Amino acid sequence: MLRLKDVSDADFSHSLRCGNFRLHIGAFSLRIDSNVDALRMGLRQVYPHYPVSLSGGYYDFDLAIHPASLLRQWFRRNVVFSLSGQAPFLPMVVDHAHALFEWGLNWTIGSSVHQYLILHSAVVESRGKGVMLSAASGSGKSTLTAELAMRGWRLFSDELALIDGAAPRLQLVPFPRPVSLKNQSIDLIRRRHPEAQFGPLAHATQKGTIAHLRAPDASVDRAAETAPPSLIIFPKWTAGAPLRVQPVGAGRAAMRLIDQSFNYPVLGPLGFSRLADLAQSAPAWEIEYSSLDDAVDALDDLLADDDA
Amino acid sequence: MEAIYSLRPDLKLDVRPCEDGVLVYDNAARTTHLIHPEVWDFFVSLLPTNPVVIECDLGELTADMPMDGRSRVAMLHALEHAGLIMRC
Repeated sequence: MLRLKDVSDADFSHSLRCGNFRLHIGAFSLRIDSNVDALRMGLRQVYPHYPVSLSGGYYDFDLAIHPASLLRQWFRRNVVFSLSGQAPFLPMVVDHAHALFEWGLNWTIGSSVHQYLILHSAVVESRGKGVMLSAASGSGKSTLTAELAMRGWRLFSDELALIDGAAPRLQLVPFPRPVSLKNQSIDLIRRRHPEAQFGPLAHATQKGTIAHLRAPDASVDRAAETAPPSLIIFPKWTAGAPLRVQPVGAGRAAMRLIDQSFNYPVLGPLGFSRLADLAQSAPAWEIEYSSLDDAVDALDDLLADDDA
Repeated sequence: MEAIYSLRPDLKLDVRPCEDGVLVYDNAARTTHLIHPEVWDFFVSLLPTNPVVIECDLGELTADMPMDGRSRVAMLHALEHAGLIMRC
């Protein structure tokens, strides 16, 4: 299996420019077409361990990042993301090319992959049990996910929970990608885990400064291994707050998950069935915390209780 | 003073009872609601049967409900808000 880290810069660049580059992430193969050096360098930094192809082949999604126009290429230095030739977003500065790719890929999966119920939720796994961390942006979800991944929990995703099947065989499907961290969270994870490897910093985005933490190699290697959902967590980071762990009923959990869904309305009754199966098979908890260590300990305890 | 309600005529629901309420998927409106257990029991009491899936061909049920207490009014309003019943 060819991995990106084994590919020379010249071959990588040529393959990207010719549209022959394929990046394989979990169950999905991406065709990536780009002549933007900033994207190429970003992919190098955060996807070195991923299987790739340089000579074309099957793909699920046709993604491209290119200068928005000839004028913008040299004057404004803007780039645009496209899926199958359609550009759903406004152009962004070239320094944000890698972040734009990650956001575009999230949008692609969330709006296209309807064989799964897709929720806006991080997913990690420990001891064979899938744990969903569902919360709106700004709640600390990605920071907690990064901390867990750096402590050896298997990373499924920091953004998209892909839910397949029906009870009792409901499964979380891995889609291990870099963890998107914002502002102070970047330095926090760097301080706690000096070995953490990040992609390029994207300054002055709508969310501030963004950096993507590389997914652990072990998570990439095990991207074909699904896990049953065992816990649903609604994390909430609050400065100075003592640890608070509170159960959430299955009904309320389901309604909160609907608020964080990408394609629930598209799936109709199938989505309801899958969501209700999920809410009834995995106990839900709200965790408010100010200390990452407290939050991790609480998750360990909840998983241990689930074992008992 | 009284109000008359009926089941919404095209009603077809998928229902999942949970400990904190009843999850209800309205197939026609494609909406999901969490109905308080007492409200759900009241709703079911209006129906000729108590099925897991309430098919639309159960027919229109008219309930002539005297407003004899705040809790009953609140329950009716909750069902009306969820779109399960409507005022005639």
